[in-house]
Amino acid sequence: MRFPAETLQPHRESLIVLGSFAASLFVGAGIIALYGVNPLDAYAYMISGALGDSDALVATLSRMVPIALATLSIAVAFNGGMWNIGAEGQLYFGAFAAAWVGLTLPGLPGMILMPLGLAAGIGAAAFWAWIPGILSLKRGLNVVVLTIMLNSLAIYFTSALVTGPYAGTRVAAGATDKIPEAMRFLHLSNFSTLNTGIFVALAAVACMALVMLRTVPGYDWRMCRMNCRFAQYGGVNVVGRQIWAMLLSGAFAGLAGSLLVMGDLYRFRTGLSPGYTWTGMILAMMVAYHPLGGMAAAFVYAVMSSGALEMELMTEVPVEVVEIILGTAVLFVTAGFALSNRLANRLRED
Amino acid sequence: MAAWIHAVVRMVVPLLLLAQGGTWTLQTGILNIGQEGALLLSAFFAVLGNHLFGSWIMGILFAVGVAVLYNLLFGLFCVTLRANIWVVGMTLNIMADAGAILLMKSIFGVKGGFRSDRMVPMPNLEMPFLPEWLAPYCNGYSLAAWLTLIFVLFCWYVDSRTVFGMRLKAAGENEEALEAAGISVSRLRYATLLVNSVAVGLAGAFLSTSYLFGFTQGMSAGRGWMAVGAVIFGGGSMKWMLGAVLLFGLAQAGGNQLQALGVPSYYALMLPYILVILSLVVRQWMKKRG
Repeated sequence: MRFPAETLQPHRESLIVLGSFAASLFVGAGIIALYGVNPLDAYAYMISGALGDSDALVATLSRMVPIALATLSIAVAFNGGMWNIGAEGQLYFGAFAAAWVGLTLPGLPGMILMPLGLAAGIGAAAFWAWIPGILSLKRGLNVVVLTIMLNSLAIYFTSALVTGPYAGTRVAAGATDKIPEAMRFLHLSNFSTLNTGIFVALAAVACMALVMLRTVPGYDWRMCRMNCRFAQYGGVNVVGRQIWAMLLSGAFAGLAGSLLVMGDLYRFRTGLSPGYTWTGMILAMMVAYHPLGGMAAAFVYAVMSSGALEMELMTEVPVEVVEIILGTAVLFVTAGFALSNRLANRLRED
Repeated sequence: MAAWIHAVVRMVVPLLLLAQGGTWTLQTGILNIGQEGALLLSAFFAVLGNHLFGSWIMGILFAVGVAVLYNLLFGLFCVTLRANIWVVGMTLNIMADAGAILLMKSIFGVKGGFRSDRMVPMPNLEMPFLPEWLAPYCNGYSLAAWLTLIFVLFCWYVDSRTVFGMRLKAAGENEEALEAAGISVSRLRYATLLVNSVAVGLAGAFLSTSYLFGFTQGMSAGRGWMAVGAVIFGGGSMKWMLGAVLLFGLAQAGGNQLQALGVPSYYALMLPYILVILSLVVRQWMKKRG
């Protein structure tokens, strides 16, 4: 019976992830059945609501952009062994910085304003990630608690700014005025906020995936996560690598925030993100931090959550069931890895 | 002055319960980072039990019940399967957040928040026999505050005066030695997770049926995380954990006070978080020197 085990071995991770996702859909079906709804109908509504026609498809893609960037932000950090729980705050900080550029320098041409806005958003967010990164790597503080506290700080601080000195004059409370037109990514359709920023996002994702999968730093990050001491012994500059994982994680959160401001809303407002990075965290953990897997997961999530709105309308099953399903998938993946490692150890001992 | 003390106590009670429970699980080597989600779910189930039976006791029982299930799930992954606590804890936190909204929509058919006329608030403990000068300082606290005091005294006694307390610390510091002595480390860890569940359940019930009345989305408001901060600050020591809880509670109460004095609310809300970060930096610096 050696043959199947050896052919399956190289695909172990993918198999566990796909199997867990399938299993979690069954759990979801069980929950949906509790509402007296046929699960197949509910899933069908999800698919038709998300992909049924071109308008729905565009709306789904538009939903996918911030989720995909947030997923990659978390994947970069977690893959490098940095538990950056603070991407939400970094996203807010970056988004505000991008809006600030537009509001402070309205007269500049788009050629300067757009890169400047992106750079400010990415830079501010990376800085907000650098603080806990350096404190944990150099001083040994717990990065999770630090980043959680910095989340709340960033969200309250930007809220204070946007209800105080930067409050918009022609808009409801809690939002800035619109940024100048020269700085906006154009909307690609009338029915959703899908905009040309998606190309920036695509380019960034492609570069990052390449770095993570095909370069030495990408390999070093995985080593840092799996066995930090071993990586150090093998000559990896652990602190240098990990601070970069943190900076890039912040950069992607900042890019997500900047694109929300410069492409979707054209202004900063409180409650800008309905928890994109928390969703991204679930997705990144579900695929064990694989960047391309993360993109696939972001697409699946965009379809499920976009379609879930139609499902809630038609069947009264709440949209939150999507989060529960994907959370269950993460738990299954975790259990799957733990059990397969144990099994592998036992086989080795025999 | 008395009003000020009451305000601080209201902030300290949930933090202290969570941090005490978390300190115990940390002593056995499990940093329980699922506290935020457990607190939120407990707060919801306290409202649910209270609404269904019109009794605050049922509210507490419901809250403790759901906290037990939650912590058992955490234990299944982190103790039995030895999975990564950050992955499991964050997943459970996020699922609890979504789950509370899902349940509120499904059971009560409302979004955002729920309260009902059938709910009975947790009573305050009043001692009418106290002299007049002492009464304002000692009366008017929720029953949960006194239960918290008893709980912490109990934990302190067990921790410092019993064999069980020594074993807890051994489980965290050298689990192989403890296993060699014939004591099951997993069982100790599950035991502390169960004690933690009682604390979390009580904290949730306090939040939604005593301090506030009713459930609102995201009402745990980072208290679980602040408690984790206090647990890490203490590093398993009750003394330091108590200091941190007191500091954070003071900061929260102070922040509220500042709002009342006219400081823009968002700046006042930032105060406790800044203090948590600063205190962790200073504590780490002290650890390195000492």
